[in-house]
Amino acid sequence: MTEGAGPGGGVNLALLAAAGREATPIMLLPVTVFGIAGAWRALTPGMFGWDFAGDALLDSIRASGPVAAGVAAWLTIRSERSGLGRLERLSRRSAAGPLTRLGAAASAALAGYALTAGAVAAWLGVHGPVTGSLQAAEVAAGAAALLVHVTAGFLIALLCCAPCCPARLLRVRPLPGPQVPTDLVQAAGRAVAAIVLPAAVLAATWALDTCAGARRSDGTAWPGLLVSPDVHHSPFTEWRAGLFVAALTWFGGVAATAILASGWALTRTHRYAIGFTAASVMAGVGLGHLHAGAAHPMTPVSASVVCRSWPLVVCVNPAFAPALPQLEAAFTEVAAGVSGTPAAVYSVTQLPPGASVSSRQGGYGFHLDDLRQGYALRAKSDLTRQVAWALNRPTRKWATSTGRARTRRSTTWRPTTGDS
Amino acid sequence: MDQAPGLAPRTEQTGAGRNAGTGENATDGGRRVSVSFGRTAAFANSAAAEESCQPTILANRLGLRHRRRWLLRSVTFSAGARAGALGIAGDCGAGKTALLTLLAGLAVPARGELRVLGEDMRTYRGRTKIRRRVGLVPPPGRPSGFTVRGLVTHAAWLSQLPASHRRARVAGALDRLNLSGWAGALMSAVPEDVARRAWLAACTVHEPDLLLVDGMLDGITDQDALALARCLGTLTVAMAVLIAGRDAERLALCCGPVLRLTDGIAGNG
Repeated sequence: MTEGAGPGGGVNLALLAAAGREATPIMLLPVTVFGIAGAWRALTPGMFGWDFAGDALLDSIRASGPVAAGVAAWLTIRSERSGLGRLERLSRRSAAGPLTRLGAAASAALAGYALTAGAVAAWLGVHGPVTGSLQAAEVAAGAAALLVHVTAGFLIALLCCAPCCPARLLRVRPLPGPQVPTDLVQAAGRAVAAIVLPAAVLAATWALDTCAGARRSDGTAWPGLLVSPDVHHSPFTEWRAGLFVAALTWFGGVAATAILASGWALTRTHRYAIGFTAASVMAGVGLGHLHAGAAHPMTPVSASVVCRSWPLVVCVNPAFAPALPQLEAAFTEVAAGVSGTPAAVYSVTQLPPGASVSSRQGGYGFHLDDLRQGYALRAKSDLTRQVAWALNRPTRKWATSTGRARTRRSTTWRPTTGDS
Repeated sequence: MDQAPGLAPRTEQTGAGRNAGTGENATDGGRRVSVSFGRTAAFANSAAAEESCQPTILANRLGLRHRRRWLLRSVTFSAGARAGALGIAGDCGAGKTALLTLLAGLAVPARGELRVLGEDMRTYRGRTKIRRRVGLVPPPGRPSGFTVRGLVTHAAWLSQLPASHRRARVAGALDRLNLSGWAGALMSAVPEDVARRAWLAACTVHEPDLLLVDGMLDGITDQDALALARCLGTLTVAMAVLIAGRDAERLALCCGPVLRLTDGIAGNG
């Protein structure tokens, strides 16, 4: 074979075209659909800021990532079953085919992620001007997390199709008697195995993502961030600077490590080992920063408030600014009812979640976490509850005839000051 | 090619008669059977003649194990021809694919000796060399996304054929197997016999010295099997071909001797 021993250069357009033709329709559609569904579920109702769009994109990985992993596993099994794996393993370019197919699958998945981002942006754009800013590192971290999912599915399927065993997933012993039952059993076994493995990959990654998200919600389990960085932004808090960069480094490092490990396993070429080492270091650095940043991921935001001052002073977080007119109207109704009483309402300020409310000299607070339908009613009832309590509380304050406030402190109740 | 393969006289042997040159050498509790196929081709030059003294395949007490299970146990046979076809018959799970995997250098023998085209397959160097000199036609599958020409071009690229020669070699391989009319069709859409011929073209585009064919004649109609056997017959002129399949009668359409594998043990066809 001396004629064919020379290095054949050039780009393998046939492989690129085939990989693209195979992966694009199968990967793009489910990742986009599940991504949009996941982002839709994660979008905070009524909040139209870029911050929330970034969170929704990250959260969409919890839905689209497992699907991408399952599809990647299925594509890998399908190409291995078709005989391409053996054809490619015979050559010196044994890693080119699988890695090209992985690249095509990852590109299709990332295109799905981009479509999801486009859908979220379009949805925000429909609802008027969008406030805030979108963090590029946050979006990139989501893309890297999706890449990790695709790579994981690819690698698991590749390991299950290892060349050391001819009939790997389901070994069917020859049955006595005619050949047909054996053929049927074997074909059925292969079909089932081709479905079972991708389904198992999908279920495993989904369970991992779900568990990580559930544990992270109480703020105690930082390792959850290692699986998928889906986090929910709050208008009252902000993420520690560099957390998403650390997540991006971690996910990028893990994906690169997995890809290079696959290349090394397929070719046994040591140049992959050098890249593998570099990628491992990158993942380690990302892990360290993630650990440091995730210890206290949220810091209270010191954002100024947006207020309307007539007929009542109502102040809200800037993210809730579109709701000011309705809140003003709702609170004015309450204030009109208690005007001239000791519980008169002069100003109402939105408080962060968890902050205790207090009423002092006509100043009240209220909680509102999102702008779901009926938010004005919820805020109004919150204020009404406080006003009713202020009317009946043991400590009473009233204006004297000279206009000076007089306060008698109760021995059983001490008002607390809100964090705001 | 390292040497010009000679043209072995094709012998159309069927049934018991095709193993006339086979002799059993030893048995080990009924488990070890040695079979020898001695059809050495007539080579044109002396170097090739010297080369021809070495059998194409020499397996001695060959074993392959996957975890605790022996896929092959003590298989012993030799094939001396540089051209011609040898059949390997066996049921599902008999070890045909495992044997071909070993012969292609994709697995390491767990025990015994294996030499293919003069290379010791127990060494990494030998296996690496052999991978360039063999073609392995996998069990029939449809690589989705590939056209017929794309699959053959991909195989040519994998074989590191020079870019300047690649197009001509691809066209030659397609012509040799009457696939020019199907070149632009997707592999997932072509008839079964065309798909199998496309695999043959892909695996012979680099003109290997030894072609290993797995399950090519199984699962198709007799008519298609006969057509494929003819195609394989034309290939045996240029290279040694080893064909594995379940049906010994079908293998006899294009193979001379047929070795039978039963549960990883070699026996007569």
